[in-house]
Amino acid sequence: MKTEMSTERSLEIITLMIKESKETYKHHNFYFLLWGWLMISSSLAEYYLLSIDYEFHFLPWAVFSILGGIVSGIKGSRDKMKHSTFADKIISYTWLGFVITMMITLIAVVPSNPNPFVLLLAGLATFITGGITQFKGFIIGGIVFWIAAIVSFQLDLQSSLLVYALAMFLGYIVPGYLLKKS
Amino acid sequence: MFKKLNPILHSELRLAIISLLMTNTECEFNFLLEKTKASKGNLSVQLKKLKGAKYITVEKSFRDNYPLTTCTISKQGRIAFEEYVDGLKSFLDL
Repeated sequence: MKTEMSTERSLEIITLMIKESKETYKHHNFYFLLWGWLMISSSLAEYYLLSIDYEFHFLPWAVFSILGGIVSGIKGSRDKMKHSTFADKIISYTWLGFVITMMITLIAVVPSNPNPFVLLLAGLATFITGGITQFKGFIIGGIVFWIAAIVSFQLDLQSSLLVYALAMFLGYIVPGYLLKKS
Repeated sequence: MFKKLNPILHSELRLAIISLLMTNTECEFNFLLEKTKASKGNLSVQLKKLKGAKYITVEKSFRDNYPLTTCTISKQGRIAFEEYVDGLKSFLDL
C-alpha cells in the first residue's frame, strides 16, 4: 500500500475496512440447534418420566445440560476466532447472563414449575441476539418464547413441558436452520 | 479552517489497520493480513509504528503451539481516529 493518499481514498479505506469486518453471525446457529434439540429431548423425556411416575423425572435436564455444556465448550475452544466484534461480546455476555439468571431462578422456584421462568429468560436472550444480529428469525423466536411463557404460567408442570418443547422448536430450531441456510 | 491530518494515520495501511480495530474488540495478525492484503513484513512494520504511537496494544501468545499476535486499539488510538475523521470531514466540507 502507498503512503500518500487523497482524503477521498482515506474515506474509501475506512468504509471498506468497516464493511470487511462485518460479521455473518452464521456460526451462532450451531449453539441454537444443539441446545434446541437437547432441550426438546429433555422436556419430552421428563414428560415421559412424569407419566410413568418416576421419582427422578428431572434427571434428563441434568444429563442433557452437562452434555450440551461439554459440546459447547469443545466447539467454542475449536472455533478459532481471527477477530471478535463488539456484537460478539454482547451476545456472549447476554447468554452468560441468561445461564446465571436461569440457575438462580431454578434454585429459587424448584420444586414448583420452573418452565415459564426459563422460557421468559430464553425469550429475552433470543430477542436480544436477534436484534444484534439483525436476524428476524431470532426476534420472532424471542416473542414465541414469551408467548409460551404466558401459556405455561397457566399450566401444570407436565403440560408445560409440551409447550416448552414446541417453543424450543419454533424459537431455536427453526431460526437455527434458517440461519444455516441463509 | 482545515485540520491537519495526523501523519501516523494518513497512510493507507495504518488507516486500514486502525479502521479494522475500531470495529472489532481485537484482531489477530492473520485477520489483519487477510483484510488489508498487505505483506507480512509491511504489516509488522506498520503495527510497530502504531504501537510506538500508543494507538494499539500488541499481545503475543501461543495457540496450538503456534505464535499468536493479537492487536487491540487503545483509548489514544480511538481519539486519534476520531480526530482524523473530523479532519477528513473538514477537508471534504461535510
